[in-house]
Order: sequence, then structure tokens, then C-alpha cells
Amino acid sequence: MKDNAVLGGLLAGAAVLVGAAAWAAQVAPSAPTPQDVLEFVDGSVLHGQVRNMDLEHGLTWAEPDARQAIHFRPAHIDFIRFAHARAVSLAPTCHLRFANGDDLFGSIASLDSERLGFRTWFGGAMNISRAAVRSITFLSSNYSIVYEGPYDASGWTVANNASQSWSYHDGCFVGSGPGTLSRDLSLTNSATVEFDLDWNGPFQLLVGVYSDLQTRRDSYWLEFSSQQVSLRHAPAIGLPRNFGGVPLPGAGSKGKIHAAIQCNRQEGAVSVFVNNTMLKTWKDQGGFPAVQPGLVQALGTGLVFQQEGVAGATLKLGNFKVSQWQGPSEPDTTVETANTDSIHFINHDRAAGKITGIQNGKVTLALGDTVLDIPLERVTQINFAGAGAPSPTAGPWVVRAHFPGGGSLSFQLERWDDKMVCGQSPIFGSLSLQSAAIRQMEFNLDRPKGEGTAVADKEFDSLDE
Amino acid sequence: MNKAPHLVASLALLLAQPVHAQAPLTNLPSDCLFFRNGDTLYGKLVAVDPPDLVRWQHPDVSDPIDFNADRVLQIDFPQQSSPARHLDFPCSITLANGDALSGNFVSCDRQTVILDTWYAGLLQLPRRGVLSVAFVSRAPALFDGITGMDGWTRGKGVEAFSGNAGDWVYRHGGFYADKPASIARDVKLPPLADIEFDLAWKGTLNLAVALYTDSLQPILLTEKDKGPDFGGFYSLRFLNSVFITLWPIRKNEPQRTLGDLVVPSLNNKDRVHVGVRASKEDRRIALYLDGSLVRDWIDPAGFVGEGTGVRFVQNSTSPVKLSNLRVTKWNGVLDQGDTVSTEDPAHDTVSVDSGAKVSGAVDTIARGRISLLTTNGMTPIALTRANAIEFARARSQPFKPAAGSVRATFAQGGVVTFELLSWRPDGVVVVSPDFGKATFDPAAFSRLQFLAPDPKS
Repeated sequence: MKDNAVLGGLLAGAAVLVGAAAWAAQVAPSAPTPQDVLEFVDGSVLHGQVRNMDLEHGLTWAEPDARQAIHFRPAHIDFIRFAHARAVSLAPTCHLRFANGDDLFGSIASLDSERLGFRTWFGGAMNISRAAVRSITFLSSNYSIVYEGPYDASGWTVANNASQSWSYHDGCFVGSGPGTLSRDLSLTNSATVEFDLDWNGPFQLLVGVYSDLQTRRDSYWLEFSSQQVSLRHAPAIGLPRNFGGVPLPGAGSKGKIHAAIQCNRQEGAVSVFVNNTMLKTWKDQGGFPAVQPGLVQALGTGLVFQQEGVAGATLKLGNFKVSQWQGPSEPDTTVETANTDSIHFINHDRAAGKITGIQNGKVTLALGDTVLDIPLERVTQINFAGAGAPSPTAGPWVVRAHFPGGGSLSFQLERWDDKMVCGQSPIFGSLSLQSAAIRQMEFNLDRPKGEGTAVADKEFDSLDE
Repeated sequence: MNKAPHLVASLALLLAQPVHAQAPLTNLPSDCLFFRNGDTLYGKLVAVDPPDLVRWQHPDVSDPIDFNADRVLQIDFPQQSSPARHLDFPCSITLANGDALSGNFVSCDRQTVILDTWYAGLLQLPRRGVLSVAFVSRAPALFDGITGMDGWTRGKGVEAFSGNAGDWVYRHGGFYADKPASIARDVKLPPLADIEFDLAWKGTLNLAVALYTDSLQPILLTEKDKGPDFGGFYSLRFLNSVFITLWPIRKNEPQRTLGDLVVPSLNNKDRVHVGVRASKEDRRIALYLDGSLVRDWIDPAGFVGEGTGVRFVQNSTSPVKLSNLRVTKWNGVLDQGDTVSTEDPAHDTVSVDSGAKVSGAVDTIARGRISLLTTNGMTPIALTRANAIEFARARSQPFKPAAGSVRATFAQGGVVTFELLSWRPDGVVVVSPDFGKATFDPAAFSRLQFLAPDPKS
């Protein structure tokens, strides 16, 4: 660990605390003491505590129902979700995506044809191979994460709740009937709402952004179903307006997606991304009044998930991340492998060529014989040509750590205890992290998971005698 | 029967289930351990020594793991076949506490009913704890029990029905589907047929059963005249659980119905035993639900069924289970059902193969003969003629399961509740107020449910 590693205190921890305090009275946190969750690739699950991990003894697991600690070999572990993860903070200026699927928030120091100077929260300033980097997304200057979780039900309000509607379980909210789940996030700027959605039957889920939690009026509602995603606006006065829909990729009675709803107040636009691919951007020709500057005060500041009364479906919501930002739109998060480098500008123009370096606040782009020095404040994203990326290694001890607030890092795990994690990263070399900074650790990265196609034994259990 | 512990267990499992679950870690059949907190773990049961220990072998752990037995809710085992053997009087005995044991009926006197089983040898049951004996039809079955996918044909093109097709899958002696799916088999239905099966479902039941079909592929009724040729069949349709209808289906003929019925009680159920008696000569399809005749359809246009197969088409995304399918030749006698009467709790009742019921007091059953004391004196009835015997409920004494008991589900159907003394791979030693101490073959069971321990202890 170097000087700026960790850390505690989330980027916008204050906002979270304010929200939590305001709504604490409405929460019924009756959950037992949080425990680590160990899930295997066969879907079996244990609650307990990770004691140690190393190559010799495997995963040492303290299982409250067992008489002694259990030493699991890692061959069939899917992931461990830790009960307590402490957020890290760096005030990042950019988001790096790597060719091996990792991604990290941090700050760019320099770039040349071979190396990228990058400051990470866990390792300070480092020089890494440029070939390992797929893209750099520049965050707006006041980018902040206002919520990341859930780790429990505190701060959330459940209303209009049928007996089987939203309840907190193992880092997720699970709903099997009509009901609403809401939280005030003090949303005032442009915002991006990200979450995982898992379903096992036909469903209808409304997601309200900038919602007035008392009236639910003047909100933008994204309606997710097993077939499509559509947008409508419910103004405080007047009839709701529908903006149309777009088919949901992989539509079906079962499925799992990572969704991102991006609300850009400056441009008056709402975009939906599924699994990091943009499905659609809606812009109201009439001006999208609710998200234009100057009308902010007419809006609510909360987030609502409302499951409608479609029988039979169970929904699981988790991995929430809500960020606020100002200024130009966050760029398209889709990263396509290309043969050339490219730059995305704040006016949505794009230019392809050869990026030769970043220095003194400018990125240098070679377009044939022409060389352009572009101020970084004009750039939203840089994509690098795909060739030359190191191929990821596989093995049972190659793990991917997921961090609170975003970011993930894969490495060969050598040792884990309750204080430090040590391993070897193909990108960063030898590394050590605070154990408490890891929210989830994924194993067996090369094993197909979560296909959900096999008929679930457990799903039919209640049909048996 | 006190079902509360079972319901609590089912609820816990339902809450515990992930939205997606997958297969065990290895290709070998695995047992599955369910904890009271909702956790699950695949592996192999090594031993149980109540009240302290459940020993478990996990494929990724070198040594067996010892779990506290009081934290274990349930253990599931993969399906194993039972040994084939000749039975003179195969039957299922229902106990007053709701347990059901299958085996070969041996004898009965005023104190004891004796059942011969492959899994626990001779079981001596106190007669006051026995509610009824249902004899399995001695007619040779044309089809008896779902044992796997062999011989069955999964339907293609079901997505045309709803755009979201799945498949029936086999598990634990039944077929399961949670998406529109078709499965069919030529079971060689005779002109006089008795078809029995069990259905269980979650949500609403939407299932079509094709009878006397010659097509093992599903027929999209809205396109039936444009699609491939097929012979006529009957479509018995369960719609939204409570609506049942019978449609004669023929290519190039207008669709018609033989009449609908509404069974509101199905709304409050999630399983039903279905019986269909069919007679080509009489143009008859009779439907029984849970043993009661609910509809007797006569086709005025003649019997349309041209094949000898059955096809089950799941039409919704609500999970459904099909099990205990049995096809026999029907004797043509249309009884009113309810083979076990509750009208005369003071007397024993014997249902015979003509459909008649004889009340009295069973004195003995031995050497293939029932000695029944009736108002006409001692009446002998050949055991081969008996379909069922209900013992006087007024004299029955259900044994309440003790806290901490185990409820075991037989792989071939039925349940038994006992106090588990020990479980080893070569024998399960139990003690029961019904049959005393016994040693069961572990292969008999598909599930052990550990009822809640006594909170006072």
C-alpha cells in the first residue's frame, strides 16, 4: 500500500449520511448480523465468515452451523461477498477500462506510446503497459457517487407493500409482488443510476428518477419489462407523456441485466444502457422540461423502484450505484474493439487516429500527417486500438476483486487475511490491498456462470410433496 | 395430519431459493443439504446422528464436514430405482397422521396390519393408526411411472404458441416445466383406458393434455389446418387453474367443445390427482379430480381419437409438475369416485371392483380373503376384488409426530414420519409410534425433512 491508498469515507459519503438520517425513521432493519456470503458455481450458498485464504489451505471458512472451520478448495467457488466493505476515495478524474475486463477509477498522469502513468487508490502513481488499457473515460469535475450498495435496508422505504414485496436479503432487494422501494438521494444534478436486475418470470418494473417521494409526480419513469424498456414522464399537472420503448436484449421470462439510466439535465436527455450497451436516448422535442436547468426545483430528488402486479415473477435488485455530475454528458460506455485509437469530444464528435501521448493537459492525436493537440477538457473518452492486449490467465486462484463505488481488478491471489490481500496482477505486478476495501471477490473467471438456462431444481421444490 | 412443519419448511426453501439455480458441482448425482437459515450445499450425506450431528462430504473439502443437526432443515437425494419384485397385493397404506407407505399387503387382524416392503422388510402397523388401504390396480399397466426422458418426445416449435419456449425436464420421478413446452409418448392407449396422473403447480395451471393422439409433436390449433397432417385427438385443457374443457380436434374441421366446467376449488389448491376414463365404443371421456367424478363427456359426433399416444403441453411460464402417470386398461365401470368414503365413520368400508361399497367391520384379512362382518353376517370378499379399504375413522388414533422428528419422502411416492436414530449409507435406523423400530434402505428416500425441534429443549 502506498501513500494514498485508502481510506474510508466515500466520495459523497455526506450525501449518503444525510439521506440515511432523514429516512431512518421509516426503515425497519430487522436483519441479523451481516455475514460473508460464499456462493458456489452450482448455486449453493453459505453464510459465515472468511477467515483466511492462501494457496496451501484454500479458503478457510467459519461456518456457524459447522463444528469446525472448513477448508474449501477454490475449484467451484463462484464468489464471496463480504459483509463489510469500506469505500475508498481518490476524487477520481477518470475511469479506466482494461482489455482483461478490469476497470478502475483514478487519475491520469501521462501517456506515451508504451506506458500510461496512472494514479490508483491502492498503489499510488504507477506506470502500466498502454497495451493493457482499452479506454479512458474522463469524469466531470464534480463527479460524485451519492449512493453505493445496498449493504442493508437502512435509508430505504418500502410502501404499498404486498406481503411478498421488497425485502432486503444478502446485498439485494427481492420482490415477489406489487410494492415500491424508494430512497431520497438528493438528486439535483445530472445523474446516472446503475443497478443489477434479475428476474424469473414476466414482470413490470417502474424506475422513477427525480421522484418526489411524497407525490411520485413530475418523475421520469423507466418501465422495464421482460420484453422492453420504455420511458414516460408523469408531470405534476397534465397527462403523462409516453416517449416509446425499445426491445430489451435477451428478452425472456428469465434473465439478468446490468442497467444504467443516464439523465443529462444539460442536454435534456435520458439514456438507457443494458450490459454497458446503449439501447436508446430519448430527447423531448418540446424541451424535456423536467430535466432542463431552471426547472430543477420543480422536481423531486428521489429514486423509486415500483414492481407492478404481474403474478409469479420474483425480482432481485442489487449492485446499486448512483452518481451525480454536471456539464457535458458522460460518454457512451460502450467500448468496441477497433484497429485505431479514437477520441470522443464533448460535442459528441469523434476522431480516429493514433494517440501518441498525453502531457500537460493535452492529448496528442496523429491524423495522417496532421498532429492535433487537444485540451483534455474537450475530451470525454479515449479508446485505444485493441491489438496487443495481454491475454488473461486462468486458474482457480485468479480472482477479480470488486470495490465499493465501482472498479474491479483481477489478479492471482496469494494470500488473504482480515487485513490485507496480496497477489500478482498482470497489469500492476505485485500488489497488496486492504481486505476491507473489497466488496466482492469473484473466482473461476473462465467458467460460464449465471446462464440461468438449466431448469432450477430449487425452483420446483415447492411442487414436490 | 399436522402439515405445519412441512409448510414452514417449504416456505423457508422458497425464500431461500435464488432466482437462478444451477446444477451440482460434479456430474455425479449429488445430495443437497438445506439449512434452516436458507443456505444450501451440494455433496454427499455421510452420516446423521441426531440430535447432534450431520456429517457431509463436499467435493472441494478433503475431510467430511460435521454440521450441527439442529441447524439442518432438509436433505434431498437423487432418484434411485427400486428393486423389481412380484407383489401379490401391491398397495398404499395411509396412516391416520397422513403418512403413506407402499408395499405388499400381507394381513390384518383387529390389532395389526402387516405390510411387506422392500425398503424396511415387514412393518407391523397398529390398526388404529391405519386410515385406509388403496390397492394398486392389478391390471397390467400399459405405462407405469415416469422414470426418465427415454421413450418421450420433446415437442418442437412450441415457441409459435407463445414465443417463449422451454422444455420439460425430468427430476425425481416427474416432469417439470416453467415455460411453454410439449412432451409426448405413445403409451398404447387401449379402446378402454384408465389414465391417472398427478399435477402440481405454482401460480396458475395452464396445461393441455392430448388424448389418443398420433402426433408426438404439438399442434398449434390456430394453424392446425395449414400445418402437417395429424390424426384426430381429444384436447383436455386446464385454463387458469379453474376452467376445464374438452375439445375434439380434427384437421380441416371446425373447432368445437364438448362442454366446459369450472372447478373453483382448484383455485385454492396447488396439486390435484387427475383420472381419465375413456371408452371409444361409448364415445366417452370421464374426468376425475382427486378421486371424484367431475364430468362425463359423450362425443355426439363419434370418438375422434385416432392414435394411442398422450401429449402434455404446458402453456404458461408458471412452474408445473407432472408425475405418477399410469395407464391401464379400464374395466368400463364408471363409478362416482371417492373410493374412500367418509360418510360412515363408525364402520369399515370395502370398495370392490364393480364400484360398489360394502360397510361393516373388518375382522381379518388373510390368505387373500377379507372377512367383513356386515348386517348380513360374516361376508367373505376376495382380496383380489378389493380396490380400497377404509377403516372406521371413529376408531383411528393418529400419532402426533414428536418435536424433532423427521419426515421422509419416498422416491416412489409417499411419506413417513419417524424419530431418526441414525443414518448410514447401509441403513437408516428409525423408531415410530406406528411401527416401532425399523431399519430402512436409504435408497428408498428422496428427501428427509427435519421437523422443528422442541423450542423448550
